[in-house]
Amino acid sequence: MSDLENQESEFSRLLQNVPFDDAGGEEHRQSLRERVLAEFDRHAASELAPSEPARPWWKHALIQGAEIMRRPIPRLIAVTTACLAIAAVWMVVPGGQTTAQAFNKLAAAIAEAKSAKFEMEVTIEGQPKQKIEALFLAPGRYRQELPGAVNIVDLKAGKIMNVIDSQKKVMIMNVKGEQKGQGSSDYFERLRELLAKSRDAKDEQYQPIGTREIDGKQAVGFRLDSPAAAVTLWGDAATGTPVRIESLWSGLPLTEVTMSHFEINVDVKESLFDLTPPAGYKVQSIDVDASPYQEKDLLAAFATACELNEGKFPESLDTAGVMKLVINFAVKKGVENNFSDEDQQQMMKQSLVIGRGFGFALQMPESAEAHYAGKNVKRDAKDSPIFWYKPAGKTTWRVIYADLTAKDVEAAPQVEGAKRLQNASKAKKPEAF
Amino acid sequence: MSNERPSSEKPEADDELVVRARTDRAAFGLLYDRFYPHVERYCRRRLFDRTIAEDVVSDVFLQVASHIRGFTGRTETDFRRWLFRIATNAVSAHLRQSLRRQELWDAAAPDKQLGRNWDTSGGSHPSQAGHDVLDWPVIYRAILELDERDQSIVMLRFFGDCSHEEIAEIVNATAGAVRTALSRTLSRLREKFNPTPTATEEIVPKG
Repeated sequence: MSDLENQESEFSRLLQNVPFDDAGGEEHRQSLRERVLAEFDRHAASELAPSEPARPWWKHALIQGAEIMRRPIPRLIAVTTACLAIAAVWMVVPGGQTTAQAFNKLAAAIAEAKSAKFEMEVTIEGQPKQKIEALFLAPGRYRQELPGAVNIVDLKAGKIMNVIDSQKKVMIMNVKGEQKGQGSSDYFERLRELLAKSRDAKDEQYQPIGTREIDGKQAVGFRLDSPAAAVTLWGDAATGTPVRIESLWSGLPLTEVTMSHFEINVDVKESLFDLTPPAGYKVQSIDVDASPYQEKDLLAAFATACELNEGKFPESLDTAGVMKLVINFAVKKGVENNFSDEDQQQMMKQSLVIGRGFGFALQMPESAEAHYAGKNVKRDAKDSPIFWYKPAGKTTWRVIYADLTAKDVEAAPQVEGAKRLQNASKAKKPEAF
Repeated sequence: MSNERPSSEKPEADDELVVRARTDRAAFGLLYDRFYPHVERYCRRRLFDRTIAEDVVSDVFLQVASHIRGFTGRTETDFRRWLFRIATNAVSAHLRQSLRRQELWDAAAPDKQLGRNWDTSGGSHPSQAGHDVLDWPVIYRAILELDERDQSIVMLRFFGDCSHEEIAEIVNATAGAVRTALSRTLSRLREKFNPTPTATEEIVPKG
């Protein structure tokens, strides 16, 4: 018999000899039974009522977070839903090149394009594939419609409005720190030229990948690998207009976006880009830093992750690692009872901090040879290297330690179990469930 | 004591009932009947006061009724774990209010002192061993001095009939961490009840 078994046996014996007053209770049991069954009926009825708003996706996920994380399929659902807290923002503001901004450049590169319609298929790691109807109106305005929600982006105004009809909620994101005056022509002007010149492109960044029939059109394809994204462009050689753009984005969560069915210079109403929240909707706002990622963002992300994880660094710098932190944190807060809008907003802020910092790490070029070794390391393990990389143009290594100090050193740390990070050009495509 | 539930009366598994209870009123009623005594006992031990405990039990089962349709578990074990997690959170939320905690503290034998002898006779009745029999208010007051997590662990183990693994899942820890915490807590309690043990009163580990 182990020591603990001895202790337990001893305490059990002690309790066996304790007289408990367990009288009563039957009356309460009976009266509560009626109330409980009435509550059961009420929820059953509300589920059948079509006008009843659905339980918020994030609340559903978080309520059952601990339960969900034990099972493979529900775990994907948990990751899916909690991921949206990050992804909903990431998709429009990933800290650098966004899908919206990318298309802005595309539109700018296509001469005289003032408006456009196109379709997007978005696959975020662990989530079902989503189909989005997208509209563009110069300058820099986008509208993305997906089931139950609408995102409106106005890059000039620095605002993004996410409207969730089923919950009658609006989230306004105030975009801060965006680079002003940044040229919008180079990337997609090249695209146009490349498409027009077909396979004669000489730019080393683009790899011709042949021709293919897409949507009844003969399209020529090129691939562009950058730390931020791996992009495949299919364009109509005859007109220079895009036919399909497939992109796999680094960062959290790993995301694949396919844009297709482009219609250029079509009628698009200004009113569709109005940033006024619908009447009667609850409005929340949050500031989003869209400036280029820096090392300090990674330090802030590590600090936040440790706060959520009882002083330990996350197991991995990927979606699964981050979701585990977020869900565990939410469950510890007792979300079965109460997870308020304020809690949700706080979680969103923390997710943004983590998303930016990990984005810095995950969008490094391959030449940086970035490594992560934070698994099972505690914040107070002062001298433990948890992350290192080779800054561009330097011969030294930049090392971040568990106490979140950073130093330049001559040689890369040798840590057992350290994992080299991969950006989108090397990553597998995200798997939808 | 093995890592099985402390209670000798292990409820018969009825996974089908749990699945049906999500949408079937009668099945849900049966589930309520089956689990009410367990939850009531757990809350009553943790909250000492019967009236307060009944309020919390009501809150627990009303939450269960509200969320059973979204419950994703498929076994009675899953349900039990979910139920006790809700109960533990409800109790903890109640205890976090210092005023209520003080009320419980005052109610739990204000005139009683700790330091009576823990039965260390290895199975014989305390009175037979010549020791005073501790009463529940004294024990409760000592448990109330523990931090919230340790309280939950002890109560789930001895009054919720939960295994170490189930407790681990309820309090979101590893089973190893639960065992360590439980051992530490029982040692602390033992010291409280028996502050100056003599050599003859030391526990002799068995087998």
